[in-house]
Amino acid sequence: MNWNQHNWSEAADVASLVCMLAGAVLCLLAGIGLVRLPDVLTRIHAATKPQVAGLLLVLLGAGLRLRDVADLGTLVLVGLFQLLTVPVAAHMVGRAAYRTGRTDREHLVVDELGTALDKSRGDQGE
Amino acid sequence: MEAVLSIVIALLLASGVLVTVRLVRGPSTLDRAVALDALAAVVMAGIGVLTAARQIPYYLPALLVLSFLGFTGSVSIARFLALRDEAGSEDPDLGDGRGGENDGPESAAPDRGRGGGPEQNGGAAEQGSGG
Repeated sequence: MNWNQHNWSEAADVASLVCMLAGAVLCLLAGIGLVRLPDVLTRIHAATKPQVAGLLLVLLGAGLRLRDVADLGTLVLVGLFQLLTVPVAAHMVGRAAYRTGRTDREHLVVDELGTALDKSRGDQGE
Repeated sequence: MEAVLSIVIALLLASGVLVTVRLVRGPSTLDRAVALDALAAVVMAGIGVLTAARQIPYYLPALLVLSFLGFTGSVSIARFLALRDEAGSEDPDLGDGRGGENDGPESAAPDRGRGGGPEQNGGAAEQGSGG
């Protein structure tokens, strides 16, 4: 029984280290992408990666290491809040980037916002 | 254990330096907003690693505060730029906004030229009337 518990805690520590390592690698990838990518939209794509995936991995690692119910509740709350807010913030930044002409529209595959904006401007013009 | 933790901290530090480079160099305000959000995420990851390494849970509310802060910052910056866009300026980004304000006098300069034309004509008319 004692041996078993010892093995489980060691396994949880190793798993938390692996999770935190993966999260740190994702953060590094986001930094490289932020420096190297050319556009606001592509930089959003690079920067939201550590915020959701990397941060969830680090929180999972911290939870596996802490193993306490109250701390796990706080960690789950932080993760849920990130999952809710990061897409909203990235969406608003992307919209502002499109409206201020920070995107090169020739490389867009689908441009639904542009047609909607043209339509609304046409309605306002009429 | 210690070695892996030091590797994780080194990776986070390198990522923070790269994000700070984008924060300093970023050509537009939106780039800086995105970089600031990513920097908040890196700091949150660092706090998480610190919490896991020392097994001290007292810094966990700081994660919540930083999460709120990053969301509010980027949304307010995006909203501010969108409002300036709706206000009708051509390119409401800060650098190009100054360019737009510089475009104002430049576009007003031909008006001055045109304004100078009638003055010259008026001067010629005065000369003509004087002659």
